Amino acid sequence: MKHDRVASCLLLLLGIGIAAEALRLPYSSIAGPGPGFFPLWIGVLMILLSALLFFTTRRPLHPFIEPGSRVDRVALVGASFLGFILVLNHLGLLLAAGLYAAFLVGVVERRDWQYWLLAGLLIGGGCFLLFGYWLGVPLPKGPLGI
Amino acid sequence: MDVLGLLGQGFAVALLPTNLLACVIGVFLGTIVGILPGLGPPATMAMLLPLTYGMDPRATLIMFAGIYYGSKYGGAVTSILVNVPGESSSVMTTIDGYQMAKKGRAGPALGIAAIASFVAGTIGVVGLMLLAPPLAQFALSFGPPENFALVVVGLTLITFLAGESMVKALLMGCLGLAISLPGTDMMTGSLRFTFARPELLGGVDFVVVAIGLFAIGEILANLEEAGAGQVFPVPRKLSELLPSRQDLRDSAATILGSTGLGFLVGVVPGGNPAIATFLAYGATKALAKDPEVFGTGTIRGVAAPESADNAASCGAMVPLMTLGIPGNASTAMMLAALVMAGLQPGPLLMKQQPEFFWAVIASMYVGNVLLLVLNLPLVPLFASALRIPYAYLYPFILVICAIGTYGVNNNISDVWLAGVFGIVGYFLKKLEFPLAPVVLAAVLGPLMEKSLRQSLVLLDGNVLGFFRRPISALLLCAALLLLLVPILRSLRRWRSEGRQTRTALR
Repeated sequence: MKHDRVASCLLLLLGIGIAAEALRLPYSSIAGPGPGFFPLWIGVLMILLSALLFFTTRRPLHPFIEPGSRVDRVALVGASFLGFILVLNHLGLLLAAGLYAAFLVGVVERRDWQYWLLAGLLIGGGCFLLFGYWLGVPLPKGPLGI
Repeated sequence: MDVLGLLGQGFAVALLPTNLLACVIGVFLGTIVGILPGLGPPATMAMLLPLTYGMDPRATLIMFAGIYYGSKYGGAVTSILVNVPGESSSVMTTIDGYQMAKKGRAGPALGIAAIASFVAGTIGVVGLMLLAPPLAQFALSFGPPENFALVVVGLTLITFLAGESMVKALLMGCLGLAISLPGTDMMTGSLRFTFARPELLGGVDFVVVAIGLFAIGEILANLEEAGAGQVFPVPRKLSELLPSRQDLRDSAATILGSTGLGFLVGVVPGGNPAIATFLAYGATKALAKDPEVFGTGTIRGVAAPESADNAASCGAMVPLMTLGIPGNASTAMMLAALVMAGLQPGPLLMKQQPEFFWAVIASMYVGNVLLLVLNLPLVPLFASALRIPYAYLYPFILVICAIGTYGVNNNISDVWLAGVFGIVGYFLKKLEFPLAPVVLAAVLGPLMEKSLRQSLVLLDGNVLGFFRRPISALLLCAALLLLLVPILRSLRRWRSEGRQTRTALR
């Protein structure tokens, strides 16, 4: 199936969801348009445009996955970023940041131990100095208090 | 005393060592704040506000103005180098700025951003100085219908960001409007689209969306290329790290036009300065002989939003200084600083304390010069940051993105949202959906809804009322014209291609 058709179906579902949720809200009130007014029209517009995209879609110029592309690296970095967010509150942002940077350089990019260790220390330590110390931005702290 | 005499007195005050130091600190802090995503000038000013109690109010306002200006340039740095717009007004700079960086022209892009900001800021200060009182009256004539019409003009720019498919661009615009829906309804106070999640009570901040779609999504897309060792070529020669004479010649008319447009839009209170950048970019592209180069890395695509942004910053000072009405969150903080110092901005301020008003004007000149003097020599340094191998650069950017999004509301949910938007952004790029309309609509959505609903109340639900008010009628007709331009261009192209085909067949 063509990529645009898949995308248009997903956006159509999103439009239907927005419109359905908007119908649960008041469309108008004595004070004027209600909270459901604007979202309903956005949903309707989205449904119409998605349908238009579905029927006017053309053959894509490029394959979705080009031969030789590193989709594995994309999946690993994307998934590990979500994993990094998961451990943030437990380890503290700065420790988690240092470990995450080391993981990316060492495991994903397959650099030698000196480079991933340095990356982890520089990035984690640098962020601590810049955000935690100098700018005083309140960051999640872990068991080490950083 | 005439204007020049008063300005001279203003300079005498602005160049006092304490005030000059306040300006330098403000510009420096502002640049850092602009570079770091998630930490905007209003937040920085709010943090510093308690410390300014007891300071000379002129020094406080001078420092805050420096932060405000500096953050504009800082936002341009990240927009160009790493495709992360630190402020809503930096979104348009990413479109061509980042493409220029990918072509090895990060230096000229950063340089023209600094120069355009300086020129626009200087002209804007002249405008503020000479036109403040009449412009204040113009600002007062903007009601909800006019604000709505202005936003519609801004949103029609989506058609100029469309690329190959207008439908895809409009769909992304709808997605952006949908992203602006969750939270507390501004007029009734009821909750909507929060799905019982307390994190959504405050809505979705545009910074989270921009970082996710633009930065994280871009990194994922770059990593897909097999040889993503050094993503950007970086020239070695210093002359290639700064804008050339040709670049300056190409940008001159754009800077002047965008300055005028940006200043006028900035004067409107309650608006979003980002609208000025959207309008300037769209107008520049619409009037260009070669609109197809916009989006591929043209220097005019950086000059237009940067000059409009800085000019709008000056324009935003008009309602603040003359009417006591802050134009945006940053000028609201400046108002707070003034009130804390026992001053009341408004029509009486210029009459009763002219030395204060003119000192602030003069410090804005000084701030502009300092911005150029401090940042232009740093352009080669900023551009050289791209020499860092991408394998080490993108982990740093990802961590900064996480910290930046966390810093928006000190909430881990924003980081999750940014991650999800990053993955969505990656797929949207793969499917050739333009991303700029999403952020553009997410920024303008709340203002559009508020002004539309207020207008319908004001006009008793009569939509034709928009066309009975001269300013809103003019703006809506301009929006219609802007919508027609790409359609007419496509028709003309289609006709000439058809003619060529028929000629070839004969």
